[in-house]
Amino acid sequence: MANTIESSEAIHLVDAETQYATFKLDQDYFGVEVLRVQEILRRQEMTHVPLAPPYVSGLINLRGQIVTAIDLGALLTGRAGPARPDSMNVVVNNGDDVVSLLVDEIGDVVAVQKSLLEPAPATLTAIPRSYLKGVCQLAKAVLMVLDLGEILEIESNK
Amino acid sequence: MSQRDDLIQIFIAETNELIEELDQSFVRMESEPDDQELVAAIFRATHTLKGNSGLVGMTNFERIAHKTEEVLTEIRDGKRKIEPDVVNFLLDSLDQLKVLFATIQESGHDQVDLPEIPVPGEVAVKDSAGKKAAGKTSKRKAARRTKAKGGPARKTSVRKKKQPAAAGDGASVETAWEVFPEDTADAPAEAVAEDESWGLFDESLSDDSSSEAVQEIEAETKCAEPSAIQSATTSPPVERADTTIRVDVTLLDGLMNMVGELVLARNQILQFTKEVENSHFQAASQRLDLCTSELQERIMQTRLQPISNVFNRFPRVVHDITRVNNKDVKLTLEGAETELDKTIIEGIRDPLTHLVRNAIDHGIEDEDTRQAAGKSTVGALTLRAFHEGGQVNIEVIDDGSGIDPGKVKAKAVEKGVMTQQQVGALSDREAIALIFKPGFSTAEKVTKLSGRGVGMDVVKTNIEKVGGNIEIASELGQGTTIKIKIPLTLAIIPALVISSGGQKFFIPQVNLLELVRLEGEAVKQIEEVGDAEIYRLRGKLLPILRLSKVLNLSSEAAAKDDVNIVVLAAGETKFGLIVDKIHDTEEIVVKPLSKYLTEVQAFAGATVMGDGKAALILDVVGLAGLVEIPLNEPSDMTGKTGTDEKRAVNQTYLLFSVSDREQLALPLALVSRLERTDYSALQKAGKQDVIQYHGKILPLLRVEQFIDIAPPAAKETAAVIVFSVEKNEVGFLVSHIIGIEDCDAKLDTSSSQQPGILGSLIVDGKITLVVDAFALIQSQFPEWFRRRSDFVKTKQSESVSRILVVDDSPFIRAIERSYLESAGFTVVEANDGEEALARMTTESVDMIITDLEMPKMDGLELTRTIRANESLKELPIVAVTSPGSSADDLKRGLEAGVDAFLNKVDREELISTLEQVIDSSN
Repeated sequence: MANTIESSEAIHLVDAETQYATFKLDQDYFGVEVLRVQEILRRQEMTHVPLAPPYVSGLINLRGQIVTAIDLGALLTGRAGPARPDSMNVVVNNGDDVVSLLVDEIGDVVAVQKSLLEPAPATLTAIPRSYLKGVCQLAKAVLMVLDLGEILEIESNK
Repeated sequence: MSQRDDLIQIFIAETNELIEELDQSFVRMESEPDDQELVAAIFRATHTLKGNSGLVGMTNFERIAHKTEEVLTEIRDGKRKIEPDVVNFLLDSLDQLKVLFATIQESGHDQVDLPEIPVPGEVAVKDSAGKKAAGKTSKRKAARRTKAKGGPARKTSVRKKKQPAAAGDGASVETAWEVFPEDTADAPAEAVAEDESWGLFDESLSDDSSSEAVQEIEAETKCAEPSAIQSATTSPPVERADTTIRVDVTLLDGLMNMVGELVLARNQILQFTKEVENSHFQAASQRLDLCTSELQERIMQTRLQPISNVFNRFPRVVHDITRVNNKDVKLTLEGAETELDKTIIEGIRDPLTHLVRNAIDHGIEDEDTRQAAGKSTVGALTLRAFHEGGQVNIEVIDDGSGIDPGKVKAKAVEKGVMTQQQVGALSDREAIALIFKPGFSTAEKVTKLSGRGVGMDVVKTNIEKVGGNIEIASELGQGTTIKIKIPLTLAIIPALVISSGGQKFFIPQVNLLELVRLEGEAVKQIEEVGDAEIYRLRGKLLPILRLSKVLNLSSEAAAKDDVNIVVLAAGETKFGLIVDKIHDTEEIVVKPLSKYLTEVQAFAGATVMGDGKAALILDVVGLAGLVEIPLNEPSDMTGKTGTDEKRAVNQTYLLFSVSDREQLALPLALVSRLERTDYSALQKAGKQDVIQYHGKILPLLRVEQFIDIAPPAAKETAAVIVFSVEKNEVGFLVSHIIGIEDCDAKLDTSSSQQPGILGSLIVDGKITLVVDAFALIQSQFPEWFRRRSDFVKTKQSESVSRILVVDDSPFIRAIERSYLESAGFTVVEANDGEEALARMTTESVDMIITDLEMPKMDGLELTRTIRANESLKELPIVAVTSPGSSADDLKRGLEAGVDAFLNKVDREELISTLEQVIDSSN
């Protein structure tokens, strides 16, 4: 998916717009490409997976499909945060797999021109910079655009 | 373009079958060279291949097929004999066709550079054949022209009625072609290659086809034969054409998934049904239940394939192997029609191939050996498949040399998989099963075919991956039978529902042996051995694992509650799993876990429960890995060694090596246990090599970093010799455990003055360095020894610092010296009582540790002499008894004035005895 977006960007005008689905996690405001988002769900009943890495919150049953729920906060910061009992599920596709990102609050879909995407501030240390495609100044807040491909490539090295 | 794509799709489907058919036929041809019908069938298949490939423009493919066809023509015409090199040529050509075919499937073209395969005896044959063929062309053409119309009719009639039809039956001919659209692939091939096709067909009809005067009707009659044969040798095309269609596998997979969903929905509804009292609803849900089960079964059947899909490649495999290593093997395939799920068929392909190779390579002997053993020179290899108890059994049986349990045992010791003692306790059957352990290959020579580092352990793992298990039985000199049991399908499995820590889990029923429930007092039957729990199940020790502990869950069950043990089997390993509750069995759909969870070995997959929640399926093999009983007999090694021998003479050593250059040894008594490990499992904690062992961290020392020996060559697996010091454990990382050897303790302490070396020995003619294990450990972990040293220094150093060790065994002296020095004492040595007394006249000592039995003056005599001496009589004396010492000996010792006895040379005991003696003497 990411590839198609990038290639279509290349074909179109340089300053193409990308739409991002936004959400809040703690105090931060994040966005992911809307095309990667399959659906957004309310709190789902979750099955705890013993011995799993800290960023795996559990498994949810998405209409018969077993989806791994990922504690995005834990994944981004590298340490398990507090339990988030009322988390929303942002279900994103990741190649053949589908994963659900647990977030606090769902925001709007915003369109951002490519030229408005800036590199993350150098002082940002809480989140690995490679996880961000960049940040974008919106009227009310600064949107951090996540590089899902990079984030979900966690493999087994954690 | 798309039309061409369609054509290629048809071509691929058709070619796949033809190539498989040829693979078997070529091999058969070698053993049945006189089978004219077989040659004709082969010829036809090759011809179709050539024609088809030409039609879709695969020129490379066509060229090779053509070359093959030429050789086949000569065979059929009797101009070429079926000799091994001819068969090999045909097989090699077929291999090239396979390569091209693979390329076509991948990329739609056949532009691959392949080496030209020389036609055996090319020049001589080709000339004459060419001329004759040229001479015949006109005849063939003439014949063809007369039959151009009769041809299709002939074919149709064969397929439809298997009888020759009248040539003039033109109308029926037309309809017949339309009725059999599947024949189109044949038809264009023949159309394109018509020029030769019909002519050649004529030739296949009769040996005397050169005679022009073949009557048309007669020709048709004869033509019916080969076609009929074709339908007899393969499955009958008549029925198949009418009732079968090709379906894309992904479509079936999709169907299977949908049925999986349906099964889950059904489970949910059934659960709901229990709560609702409405007879209509209940009747409906019962019907739904029935239909779903039926549907599930049917869909499953669509995915079943005969095991012949795997079996059929073996004649070729066997041919190839026997061709290389000069063995004569007759392969028998039984039950090739037994059906299995497609994924499983794919899963067992490689393991089975490996087993077949093994059987010929290591099992079946060469002709001379067989003859000498009074066996038929032709080895027999049987592959048998059959259904039994809802599972498919596959057996690989050879009548070869069998497996020598003795050799396997020796190898196990050599490879450090087991110790001599452990091996001694094994039954032959258990010994043979050792070949499934990693890193095991009994072949004396590594051969080209099976000695490729792929061992039986890989076969076992692969079989287990598809939910199967493998057993081996072998009789020396008579042969080997390998039995594999695999489930029919993997997608939907019956499973036991259990819960632990308030969470439900599923255990696949295939792994389930029995359920044991212990109530009340019986709970105490779970015993502890070291840090492991065991249960005696009908006299056998069953390792026990608590699921809540393994998974870090808080168990709901209190310690006093009744205990549920689920007895599980993972291949050879049996173990008991204690769970909080056992519920029901359920049919579940196995769904894979995402890549974020593949590291978690405890789970095989997930499923959706009746209430819609996701649940985890336990991986019994993974769990078994967690209880893999360590290869040791903890602590009783120390007690048992050399019990019957007088210890002063015989010592038991553990022989090991770090590199090929030196043989090293350690007194076995010091070793707490042995472990195998993988170099890849090593981790670093700071500068320290460590390995994780049962959740604990075991620090490792590399012997070569302490003493001057060659470093190890790069290897995958290694052995760890584990020592315990107080409550700490440390391992020596070595490459190889050679074995255990009882030998005379003629320890040469003079020649090797390296620190960390006690001395050298000669074992089996090899110079062997005896490593001072505790000195090495102390140099690395001085803090482990500090308590003793501190103790000695602060409280006792005034009273005791020099100890006289009296023993006629230099080895024992060396060990005692090592122990004592590591605890901060100074050691003086004497060989016997006389020497000890002599020493004491020149040196002052604070304490004596003496052996009782010594030449010249024994320990009792020495003690009496000392006690009688006015200046020495207060000297503390510790006597080391030999294992054979009786109560009388001890009594005599006490009478003589011994302060304490040591019954074995053990570091902990030695030091603590000294402490006691020193304390009391103060």
